[in-house]
Amino acid sequence: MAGFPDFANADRPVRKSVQRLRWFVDAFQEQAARTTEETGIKFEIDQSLLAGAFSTWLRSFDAQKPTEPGRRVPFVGFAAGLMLRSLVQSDPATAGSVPQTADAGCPAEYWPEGYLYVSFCLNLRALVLQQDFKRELPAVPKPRDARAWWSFKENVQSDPSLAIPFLDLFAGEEPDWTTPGMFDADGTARLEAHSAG
Amino acid sequence: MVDNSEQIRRLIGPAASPLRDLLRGAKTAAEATEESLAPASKLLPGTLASLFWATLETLEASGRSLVASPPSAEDIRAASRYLAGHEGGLRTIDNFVSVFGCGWDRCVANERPRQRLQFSETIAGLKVAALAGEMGAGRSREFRAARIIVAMRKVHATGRVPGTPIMLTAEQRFRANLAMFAVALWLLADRPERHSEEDRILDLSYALTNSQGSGELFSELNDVEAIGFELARLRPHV
Repeated sequence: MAGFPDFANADRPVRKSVQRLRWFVDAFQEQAARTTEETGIKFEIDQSLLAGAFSTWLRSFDAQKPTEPGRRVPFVGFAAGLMLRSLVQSDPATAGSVPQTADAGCPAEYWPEGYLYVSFCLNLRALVLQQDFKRELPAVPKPRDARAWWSFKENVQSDPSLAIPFLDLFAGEEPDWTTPGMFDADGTARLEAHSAG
Repeated sequence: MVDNSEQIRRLIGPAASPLRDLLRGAKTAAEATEESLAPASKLLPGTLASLFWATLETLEASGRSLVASPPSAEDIRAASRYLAGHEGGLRTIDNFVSVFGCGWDRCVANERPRQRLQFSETIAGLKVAALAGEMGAGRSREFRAARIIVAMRKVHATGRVPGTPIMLTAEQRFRANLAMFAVALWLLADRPERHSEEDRILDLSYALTNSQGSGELFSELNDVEAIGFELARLRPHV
């Protein structure tokens, strides 16, 4: 999965930067460029739809943002899931044709836009945890399981909130399938346990 | 075609809002005329038809080159400072409405379908000058910005015929108001490091405004407190 743009030298924490549309758009476009390098698939980005995704995410983020400092770390994964939900709903990217040289079995071949959105959210999640909270994350295997991607695409089209547990799954975390759109204490326990391990 | 926008700007000078409005009007009128007379122009003899189209094109291009000519970095900073609460004389206000008008033109120009709408610097400038000293001392920059755009809206600084409420559909009124809010948001946002990014920040401000779905707020644009609150909420996120 293509790496994330190096915005670590910004003069503010990543979790604050991402709440600015100008940073968000730059980061997303950079992610698209890197995903193109990785897969050979070109993307057209609709800036209005991307701004719409950002707005929707921001409203959800503000509505559930925890006030207790101790819950900020576990909220990072949830917020990244909210972002994936917004991107899937707004769908600001349109993929060009898949080159014949594409890696067979790569999820990007099956659903290029979804692969881009997941890459962006996973990388953003990792960047915030590493840069802002100094968490050493375990190496996450590339989400290549075709069945998981098929299920991901099918499920988020009927219930976009399922993007949140699917991102947990792709990140190697334990997903909460029962109340996917709600940030809860179980999320705290999951991520804390994983980080400690 | 030769780009004579700088020459036009120098000729007009910094305090000639009415003349700039006139050129804006010429551009809009030329565009509208072009559309409405296109079928009839086919009846003109060849030479006359060419002259007709050339004249329209010149009018349209002159207006467009002025409107499209971007304000300088210092003009934008000064307009931003004014909106944030730094008072100034008539030249400051003239600069503010000029920058505001350029931003508004850019937002509306990107509309599809195209809207035949105009911003009048003269009407806006007169109203903003009249507001000086009534901004509510001690209130936030967003409240001040809200006061200004509501005041400009009330005197119909934007419209098909600025200064009058006539000939505007609900959709056109909504788009005009939305663009005013977006320009205020742009001017309140942190200035980018490079002047070349200003257009992009304006476009993002417009996209962010457009994605809010605040139908009631933008259809009337008359609630200063609510507009100030929305500007304050969105400003850090541009």
